[in-house]
Amino acid sequence: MTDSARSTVSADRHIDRLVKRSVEGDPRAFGKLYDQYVDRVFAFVRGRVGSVADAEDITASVFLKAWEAIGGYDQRGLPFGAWLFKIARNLVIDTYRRSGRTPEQVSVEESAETEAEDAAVDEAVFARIRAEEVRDAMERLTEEQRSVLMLRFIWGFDLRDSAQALGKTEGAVKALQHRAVRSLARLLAEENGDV
Amino acid sequence: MYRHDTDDIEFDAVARLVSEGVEPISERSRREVRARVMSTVTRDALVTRARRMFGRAVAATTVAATLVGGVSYAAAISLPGDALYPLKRVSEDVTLQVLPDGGLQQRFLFIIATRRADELARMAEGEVDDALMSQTLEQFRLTTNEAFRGASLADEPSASETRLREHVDSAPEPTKAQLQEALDDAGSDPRTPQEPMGDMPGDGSSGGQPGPSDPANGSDVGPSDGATMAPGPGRP
Repeated sequence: MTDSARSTVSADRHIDRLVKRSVEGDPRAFGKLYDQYVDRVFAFVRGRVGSVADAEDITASVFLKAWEAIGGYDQRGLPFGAWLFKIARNLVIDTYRRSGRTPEQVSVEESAETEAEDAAVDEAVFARIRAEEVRDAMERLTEEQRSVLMLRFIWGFDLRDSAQALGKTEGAVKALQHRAVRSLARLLAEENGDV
Repeated sequence: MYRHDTDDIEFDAVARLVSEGVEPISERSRREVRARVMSTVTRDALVTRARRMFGRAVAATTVAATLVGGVSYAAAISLPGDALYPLKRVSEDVTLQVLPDGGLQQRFLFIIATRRADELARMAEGEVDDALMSQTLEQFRLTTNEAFRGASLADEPSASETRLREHVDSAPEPTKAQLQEALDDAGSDPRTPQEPMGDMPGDGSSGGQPGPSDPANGSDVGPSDGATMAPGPGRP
């Protein structure tokens, strides 16, 4: 087993232990799960909502819902990350369904708040423009294509976990990923005027 | 750290591209959201722990209460079939066990018999469950037998015995007739010497242990059937 693989297995076991303790009602263990997953949850939610405040609200709601339901979570079933992702996805959909709004584009001004402070001005401007372009392009993907990109490339799920999170077969996820990547590349090329 | 199935250059390139379009959470947001989440999580965990502790505390208090003969009002007025009825019965059994043999125990047996008579009368007022009525009547019979067996020829009827007779007298028919018959069988005049009855059903124990708690009497409300001391709030 390679060092990388060993590290992954060890990380998985650590998560499993935290999940088990959380299921038993240990708030400190759940806090550590929050620390492990908040980046990924926020990243997913932030790409779907118009403001940082909305993203914070929904992210908090994801973890609160997870805490409410964790007593019934079965570790032999859906992997915890996939289970959490489903909660996040459903909450985002429900939020927009209730409000009647559609997911808004992230504004350039708000995204600028999260850039590295020590980046050179030119690099910061280029990075901001690039980030905006990628976000614009991702917004134009279907919801399933966006989700698979999030799961595979931000959440780091393998095909099996991604399939479970999306409720699809591994083959379907692979095909979906392929289409999502090609569509993203095409949209970025269109924005750059390459097409 | 990304997990992927193969060392795929294209995969890494796509991952970098997608991550460019993802806005990371700021430290401020991370802290604020964490504080919001953990305030609820911590509070819930404390409430759950308090409920478990309270449940055990209630059970411990109930055990202590039964040792001095007291139970909650709700348990004291419970009837056969009620959730707290086993607690009432356990309380009686525990009290009997700690009472010394003799007059004190005998008087308490009359008190128990009075309770059975009271239960029968109240049960007769509501929807009658024949099986429960039969069982309770049998308990009354056994308890009065035990109580009268301890009576001495020289003793005047105790206040407890007098109260029992008054209770039976004031019971509605046909309950009154049933109770009176049981009293007569037990020896309505305690000063009449009784023939040794031999082993009565469920009366195999020594030390004045009464029949009501004996599993052989078919009662399904005694402590021997696994009735718990107290359900308690929040008990899992």
